[in-house]
Amino acid sequence: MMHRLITLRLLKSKLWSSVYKVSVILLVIVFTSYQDDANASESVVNQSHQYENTSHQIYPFTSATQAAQFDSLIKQMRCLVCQNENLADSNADLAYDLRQKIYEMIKDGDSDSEIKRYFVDRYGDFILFNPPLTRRTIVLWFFPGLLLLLGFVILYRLVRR
Amino acid sequence: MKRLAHLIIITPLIIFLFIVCCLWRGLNHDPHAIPIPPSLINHPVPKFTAATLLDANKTVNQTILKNHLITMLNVFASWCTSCQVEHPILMDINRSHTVNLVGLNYKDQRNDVLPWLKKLGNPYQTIIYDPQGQLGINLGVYGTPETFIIDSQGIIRYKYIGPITPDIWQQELLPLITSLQKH
Repeated sequence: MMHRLITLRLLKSKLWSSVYKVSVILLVIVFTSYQDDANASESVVNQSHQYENTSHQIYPFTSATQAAQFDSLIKQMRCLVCQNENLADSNADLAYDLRQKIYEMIKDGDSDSEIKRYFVDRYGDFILFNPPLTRRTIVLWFFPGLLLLLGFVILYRLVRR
Repeated sequence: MKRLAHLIIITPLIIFLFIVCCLWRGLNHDPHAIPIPPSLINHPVPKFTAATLLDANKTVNQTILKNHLITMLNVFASWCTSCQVEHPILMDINRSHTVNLVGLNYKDQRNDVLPWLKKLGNPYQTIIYDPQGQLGINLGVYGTPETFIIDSQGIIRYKYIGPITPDIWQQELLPLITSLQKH
């Protein structure tokens, strides 16, 4: 209770209140510019639906399971040249070749894990959008959960007061 | 108590500075620099059969990359401008007889690449022809130029992405080749 009063009093002083305001404004700027990027990538996602409708004409399958396997795999893998696009969306030359290879492997009856393994061996984990849990990615996987937990602890203590 | 209050006020500033640090580091980080997968290095060259560029009737397989010298497999194409940039250094490397220099002509056409080689010279002992880029995928190639260093046992030891410059050759590749040759 005490430190909250002091915080309020400090905020009334010119220096501290301007420090506070400026830093909040800076944070808002950073986050809004990040938001712009997110919107931009959304439009790319919308384009992918057009491609999907035609993909089975280019890559014909006799079984619906194989077609579904193809659709799901090309969405999970990265085009290494454009990097922020998946193989389903990309028009890059390499993406065509990789799609063709995936198509042939599915036709040969390879499983999802066999296909992923083949590409990870050659291009690294980077080709998968979903990074596997390894020692290097442990922070990536558990830090958000840890932050959430911390949030709950702080909330709990505030409410109890 | 007053110190805690100060801390609360400057928390947004601290968060901002943290983000700035992250973004600042990001400026010097090349997102296109894909780390070379450890699964590719220290493994044997995958099995393949392919035609040679100069003689369409002749086929070669992975044993072409196993030589008493260290093999340097250079992925190139006539449509690739950086390949033209590194071409003179490849000519010099071949003249020095330090490596078994093999070319992989990637996603190219004979009609385009043969005049290209005639004009600039052919630095390669053998050239593998891969017009569809299928062998390229098997080797984890995603662009040109790329250069693989393969030891005398046929095991991939290193992969260099991008054009080889005299500096890269002198400081990075040649010391590696010399050390591999001693083993």
